[in-house]
Amino acid sequence: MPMMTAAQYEESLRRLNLVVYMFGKRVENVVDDPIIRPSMLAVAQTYALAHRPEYEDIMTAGSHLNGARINRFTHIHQSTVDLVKKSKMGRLLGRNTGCCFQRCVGMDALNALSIVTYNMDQELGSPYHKRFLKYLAYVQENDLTCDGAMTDPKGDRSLPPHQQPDPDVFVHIVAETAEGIVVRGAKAHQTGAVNSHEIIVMPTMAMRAEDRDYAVSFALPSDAPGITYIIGRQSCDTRKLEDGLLDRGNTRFGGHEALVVLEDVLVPWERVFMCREYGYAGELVEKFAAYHRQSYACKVGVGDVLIGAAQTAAEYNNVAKASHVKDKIIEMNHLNETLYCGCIACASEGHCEPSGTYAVNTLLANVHKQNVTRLPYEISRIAQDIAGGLMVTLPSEADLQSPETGKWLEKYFAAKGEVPTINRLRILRLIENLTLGTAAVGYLTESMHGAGSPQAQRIMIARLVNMAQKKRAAQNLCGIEEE
Amino acid sequence: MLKVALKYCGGCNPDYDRVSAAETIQRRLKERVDFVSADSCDDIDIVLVLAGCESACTDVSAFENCETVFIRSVREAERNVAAILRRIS
Repeated sequence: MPMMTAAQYEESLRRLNLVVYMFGKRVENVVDDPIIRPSMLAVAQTYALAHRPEYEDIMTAGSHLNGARINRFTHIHQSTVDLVKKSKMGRLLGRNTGCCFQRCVGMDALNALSIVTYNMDQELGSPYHKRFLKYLAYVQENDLTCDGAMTDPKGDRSLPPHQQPDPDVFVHIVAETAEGIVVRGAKAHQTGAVNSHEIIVMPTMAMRAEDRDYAVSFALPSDAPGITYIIGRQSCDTRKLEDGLLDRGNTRFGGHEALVVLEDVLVPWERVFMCREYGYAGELVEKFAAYHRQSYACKVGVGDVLIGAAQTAAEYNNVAKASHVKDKIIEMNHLNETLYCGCIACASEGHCEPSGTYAVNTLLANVHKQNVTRLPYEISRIAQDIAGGLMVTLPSEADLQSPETGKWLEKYFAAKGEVPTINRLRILRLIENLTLGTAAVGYLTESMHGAGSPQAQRIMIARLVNMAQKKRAAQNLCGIEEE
Repeated sequence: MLKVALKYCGGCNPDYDRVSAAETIQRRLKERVDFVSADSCDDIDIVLVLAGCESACTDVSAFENCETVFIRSVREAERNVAAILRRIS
């Protein structure tokens, strides 16, 4: 099949038989559920834009398997140009949707596995890379969305997997048969899980010999028997159940996360990419984490939306020419473009792995993600400063539509003459959505913890900087002889 | 008739409306040149690449055998339309 259209993607999801729970009840129609659907529409944009000539140079690539034109989200990076285009694609889609579009994590899992399965086969004589390439061809030919599932619940953080009171708090192998392996456990915070055709599971951290049953990587169809999804709540999520769109802020798109429970799920051997080779778990985590830290390029695009919203709010209030407002907008742009520098730099400084896959510069990817844990918060603070308190004290759309109260809201929330009051309210709701509503899940807390919490990046930065060279430079300039 | 193809960059952060610029180019050169698909690489005289910014990172490796002109702004679009009109007059 060539690349799917957005409509074909939606139809393909309707054919899945997912077991999804939300608010204590089974969701029978996942695609049309009013809380989930905006997140599906955000993923659908990754399909829609790939078919538009003005975006195809970024959104598509030539498959290294057969040369076919494929969606970049299923591509294995073949050059630093590919890596740079991946960063640019993140910004494009972040700005297009104003939220998490969920598909980057599967791309990052595929690329990390392309590197590590190759290395395993070279060193162990295992069959994993051959299996992986067959699986990759299936993903590319069918233009699938994959969930990259890494984060285990982890239980008591001071204990390794094999010492946990409940062994299931890390995904592990519970049985091995002629058909494959049987796995149990869960993956937390799974972005876009119920909008995915496939779930690609990876270990959550480096493993030791005692934890060999936890060193496991595999792919499953998202509706494989034994998988249950429990949708996470988001601030203001039930506004999507209300009449009207204004109070949602983002009237078109959204994101979702889910706890993915794997209860004795059979994984056929042809879908197993790591089975107890504990020495490679850490390598897979590091490769995936570096790619995924680069993927936070998307926050630059969401930042573009927030900056545009803040500027619009300032213009509606007729304060855009005030010097302090102009300076705040400059600061927001400075911070946002600083984020962009990091995701472009780690891609430009990428390198070729033995498998032929290009990997990002790990140090710079970690620096980029560390910036992402901070700067969106400051950008949001300034946006709220410019927006004013009305963004959190505004009555509902129902009050605006009410014949009793609407006239008062129209009268007292009018600002600059020619601007319709409802537009002022729309832009304030969008700022609310991005900085403390449903989209803040992605723009703020996911920026903090997604792809690893801040301390994870600091550990990598400490490990990867060339401290010896820095010391030599300093000692040389002040006359210290080499020790 | 001169065969001209239009090719977009990926549009990650364009400084101008590339689609609108393309429409203007097509309108200005209507019936003066033959607009062909950028996919028909063997049968193109000039590729006008609508790059959204100065980095102009568009992949033009498929067009090694034709003349490639990068357009990075509305002004450059106007300038290149004028150049093509001069060339065919």
